Amino acid sequence: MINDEKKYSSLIKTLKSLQQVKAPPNFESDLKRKLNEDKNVEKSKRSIKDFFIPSRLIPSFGLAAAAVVVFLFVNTSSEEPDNPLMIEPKVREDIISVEENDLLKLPDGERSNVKDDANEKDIADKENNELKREGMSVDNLTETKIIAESESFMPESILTDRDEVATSDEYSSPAATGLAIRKSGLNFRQIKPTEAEQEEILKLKKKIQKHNKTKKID
Amino acid sequence: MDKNLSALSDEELIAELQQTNNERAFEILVQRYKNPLTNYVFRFLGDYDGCTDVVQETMIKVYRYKDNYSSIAKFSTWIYTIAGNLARTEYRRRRRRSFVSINNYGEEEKTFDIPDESYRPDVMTDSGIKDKIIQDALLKVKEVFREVVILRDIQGLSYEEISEITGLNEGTVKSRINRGRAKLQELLKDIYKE
Repeated sequence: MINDEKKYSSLIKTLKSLQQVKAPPNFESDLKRKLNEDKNVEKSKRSIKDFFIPSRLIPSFGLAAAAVVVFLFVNTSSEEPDNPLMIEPKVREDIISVEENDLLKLPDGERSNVKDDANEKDIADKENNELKREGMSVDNLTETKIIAESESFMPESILTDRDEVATSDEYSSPAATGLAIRKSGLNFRQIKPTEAEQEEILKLKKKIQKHNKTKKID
Repeated sequence: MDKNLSALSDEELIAELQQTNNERAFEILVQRYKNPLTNYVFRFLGDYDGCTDVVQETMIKVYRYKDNYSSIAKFSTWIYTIAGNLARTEYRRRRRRSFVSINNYGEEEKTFDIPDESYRPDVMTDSGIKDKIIQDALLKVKEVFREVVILRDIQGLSYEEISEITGLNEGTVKSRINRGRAKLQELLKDIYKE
């Protein structure tokens, strides 16, 4: 470094010999004037600021802002009501059972349809397996089968809507789904009349039949 | 009271200004630094009016931000840092402006600045003219080198002080000073022929 200083010694000497530039004589007065202007500008800025946002209101503004933020947060996190049109219907596992024997009970025409839709039945089987996987134990399934079978052997006379049941209940869509759905398993109201009531019903039926016959004769 | 304040160091004066807001302490600091800073900024900018404005702005900043000064640093390095930053900003602003004025050449009432190179170093004898040549040469040196050369060779500050002012490490400062000196010597070779 000393070598560098020696190397440039003449240059350094020249630079040091340069005339010192001095501040103008009015430097201090100008500075005072500028300082006063600066102070006035600061004051006016502060007063403008205070006019729009007085310092005493800052905490309340902060509190209000915090409240708004909290409200928005709570509002967005609350659960929205489910759209009823978008909810999938619940599967009534207790009334659905697969019965291979059911196919035997079908009339010939329908049976052929069922065979044609074998692929669809496969899909249904898969669905059934899925049901099992979803938590329906094998015991449950067999139980439902037993219930369905026992209901199928129930005397049809005890069902009130016998005619309707006969048409729509029996294998209404096994070809489509491969599942036998019985009305006896659904939530239809089942009335078991007492003997006295049955007698009354018979009497009424007879009356109606007599009435109809007399009408026909007329 | 005045006598006592005049005897105080820069650091004690700024402390007095911070604690009691004594304006007399500030006036003494202004008296002490107005000429060194004017010389420094003039050599950097090459314009007297501009340099006066920069030094006044420096003093205003010292007054306004007096509480930001911490006694860890020397007052001289603090005030030189402020002046250097303002000088650099002003220099860049001027350079942009002159660039724009040249670009607009040909438009009405627009002027453009081209350095006057009509002087002849071989016939110049007046010290004022020699000063001008050196000043012109200084302005041709890159601003990063010029700044440190002025601080070292014209203002006579130590490498340590320059390092604090510029925020560079001492090695970089020394290297920049040497590169600036080399460039300056090359530009002023005609003067040394005599």
